[in-house]
Amino acid sequence: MDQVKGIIGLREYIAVVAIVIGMKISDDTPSILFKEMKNSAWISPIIMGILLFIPIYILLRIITLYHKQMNDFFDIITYLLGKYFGMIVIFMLWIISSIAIIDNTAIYSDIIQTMYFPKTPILLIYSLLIGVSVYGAKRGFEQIGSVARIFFPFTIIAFFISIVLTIIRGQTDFIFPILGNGSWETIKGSILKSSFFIDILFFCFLFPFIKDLKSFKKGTWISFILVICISSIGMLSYLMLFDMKTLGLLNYPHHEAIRFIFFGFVTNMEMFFVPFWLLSTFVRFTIYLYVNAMIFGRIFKVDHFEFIIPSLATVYMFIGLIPDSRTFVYYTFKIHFYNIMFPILLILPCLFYIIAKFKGDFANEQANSS
Amino acid sequence: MLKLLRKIFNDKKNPPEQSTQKKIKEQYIPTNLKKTIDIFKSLYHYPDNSDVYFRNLQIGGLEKKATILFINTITDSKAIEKQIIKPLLHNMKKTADISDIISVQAIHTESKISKILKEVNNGSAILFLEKSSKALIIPMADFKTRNLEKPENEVTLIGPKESFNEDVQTNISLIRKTLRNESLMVESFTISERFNNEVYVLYVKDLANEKLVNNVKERVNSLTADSVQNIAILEELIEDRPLSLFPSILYTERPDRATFYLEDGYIVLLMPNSPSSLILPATFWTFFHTSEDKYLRFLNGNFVRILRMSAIFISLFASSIYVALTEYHTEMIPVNILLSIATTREKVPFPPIVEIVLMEIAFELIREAGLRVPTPIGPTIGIVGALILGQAAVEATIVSPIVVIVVALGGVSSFAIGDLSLNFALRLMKFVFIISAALFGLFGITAVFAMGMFYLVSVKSFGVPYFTPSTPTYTSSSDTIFRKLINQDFFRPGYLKPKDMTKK
Repeated sequence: MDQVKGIIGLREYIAVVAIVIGMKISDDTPSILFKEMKNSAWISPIIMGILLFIPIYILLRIITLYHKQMNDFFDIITYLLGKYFGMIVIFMLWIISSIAIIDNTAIYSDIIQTMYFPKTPILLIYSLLIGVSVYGAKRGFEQIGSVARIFFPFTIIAFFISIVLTIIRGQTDFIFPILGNGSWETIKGSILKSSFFIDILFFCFLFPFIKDLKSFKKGTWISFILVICISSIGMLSYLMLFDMKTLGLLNYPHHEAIRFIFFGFVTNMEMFFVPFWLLSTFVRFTIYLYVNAMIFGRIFKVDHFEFIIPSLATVYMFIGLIPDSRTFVYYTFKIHFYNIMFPILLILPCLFYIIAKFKGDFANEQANSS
Repeated sequence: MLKLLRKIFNDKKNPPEQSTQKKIKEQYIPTNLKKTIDIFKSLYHYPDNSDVYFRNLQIGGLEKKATILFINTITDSKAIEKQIIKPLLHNMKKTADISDIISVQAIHTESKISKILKEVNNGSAILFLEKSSKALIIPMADFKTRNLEKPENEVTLIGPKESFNEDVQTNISLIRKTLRNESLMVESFTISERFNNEVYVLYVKDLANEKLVNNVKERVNSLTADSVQNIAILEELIEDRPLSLFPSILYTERPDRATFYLEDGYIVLLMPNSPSSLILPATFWTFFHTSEDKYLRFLNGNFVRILRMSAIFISLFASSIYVALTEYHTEMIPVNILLSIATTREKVPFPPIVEIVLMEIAFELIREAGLRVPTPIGPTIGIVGALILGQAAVEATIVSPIVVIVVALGGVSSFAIGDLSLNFALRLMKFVFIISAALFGLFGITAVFAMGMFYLVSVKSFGVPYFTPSTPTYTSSSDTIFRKLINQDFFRPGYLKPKDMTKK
């Protein structure tokens, strides 16, 4: 018997979103952005933010509209797009999320191996990473939220200390020319890479877990702004430390940066930051696996989808292990993946909106409320 | 052979003596005094049982035969003589009620044999009367117990210095002394069938959540043990996860602490023979806090809390981080320190993991031995431990001095964690961390830590998540790592769903 019902509050939700999206700044995503937009890459999250404001607003609007009649986001999609087309869209989202898991787990285990444990076999690192994430994901979303909430403050403090130390070591001159390849190139790059924030679409599947709709909306906006700030400042700090020339050669600028910085007599500080980074990594993949299994369970009608997480994760791990030169394969793959995916986050919400408008549900809502 | 086997099996299923005894116990006492006394004599195996007394007498005035049954060793025999036997023998009135003759505080009647037996075993004197189908129960219990003493395991500098003792009546009185309110409930339940062990459930009626109280009562009542001797055994029987490393019920010997929790809507369990109480539900923070945090001045109390939190982390991670740094991440140690570690390790034949595990086990052994050793030879353990295991091991280059420092630091830190169960949990986890550090360095430590956190947030004590009110968040006095000023402490813990949330 539970004395209290498990709930995910505002803080837990913000921690979850911020960890999942914010962590991207510590893998090879910044180097993709830098490659595309040169010196202006650090502005791109802000441009993406402005660009994505409308789609995200629409998404939240749609959820507000239907959250009383529908149980979850699946119902909303199938209601709006019809049973078959809706299922196709959900299936497509599941494929995207699976690819993201394979790609990211492979890259993160590659980071751990190349940067910190060059002698350890990748299989061991990969399976430990997946193993911990599976253990966490099987516990359920409330637990994931709580753990994210516990780790998040430490992660963010550690990250900001590293940023401050990086900026102290960096030079302001390196950020020029501010616009990199030019303003048009910056805007074009930002649009192409706007699937940086695609996870927001997947968080819509989580809204039934959040305490109330108000916290969900508030949490989405707060974490969205937080993530924009984190990624902008993060990339700015890398740019100031390395300059564009060196950055072009680095795949994992965050990990190179924390090797560079020092504080007082402690010359090698990376091991102060890595544990926090690792904790967030575990939480991040836990959330990925959970959401992925949830969508899978919905498509194939598996009620207790927690039980298929281990098998799904094992499959992803072995797919992730296939390429030998992970660093390059997944880097190139990610660039194309981003380019292909950018319309989804921009178009899908608008499509929802138009259909809802045609169905006359907005008018009904107004009529009901008045 | 077959006959023998059958006999054995039959015996096991239905021992004739026991079943007849059980039948007798379910009956009511007959009106014939002699028959009644014979039943009880056979039940108590009189006169083999040497401290069971049957005192026959003739009540003066009424000219009625009566028998008093009591167990001499657990009753106040002087009071029985003075308050029951004497008035009965010296009575002159021809018509009078027995309760008007004897001068005792409480008296009630009972006619079922099993219930009378229970009363006798709990120290009452029973008065059987001729031609009466009811026995008079007169509470005369006098169990021997020690006096009130100072708490030994939860020592504080400020605050009350009384601790619970083995007499449950004293313990309840200690709580009632602090919490003077008519809605403080003391309910008792018999939880074991054969030995009639009792549990007292204490809660404040207009604060504690009814669902929670019923849940606890249900769980206590559903026990089917033959005997539950004391509260430490009860703890294992009623906790959610007996196999879990981390405790989910608080065990305290301080009445003031129990009272604090009662005031917040928690439930306290007491049992005879137990110099302590169980407080439930418990969260991680209940184990982290001590009662002194509240008594110390605001800043001092919070300073102690920071110290304790760092003690938890040091005792968990000191040894494992040493192993991880020396085995995997040597580049992280500043050169000067690295060189000094290297010089001390020069002649040591073992890898760091072996050194650390050796020293940790030695330290745990000293600790356990120090606890079990008889007091007169206690100091020897300290000398043996410090001299032989510390200095001599270093001089013999079995371990390096830095390992002694690291292990001692972890050990001392673990003493700063007051709660015994949490202390054990952390000490056991320490070994898991050491092994994970030896296998995967800091990656292993963080992996185990993450898994541990995933496990801990899913632990529930009587339905209350382990890390509330930090996460999930509830309205409460948010007494987690730091405590608030007492005059800003407005709320009772919301995760208990108390009937009255505000404290003012």
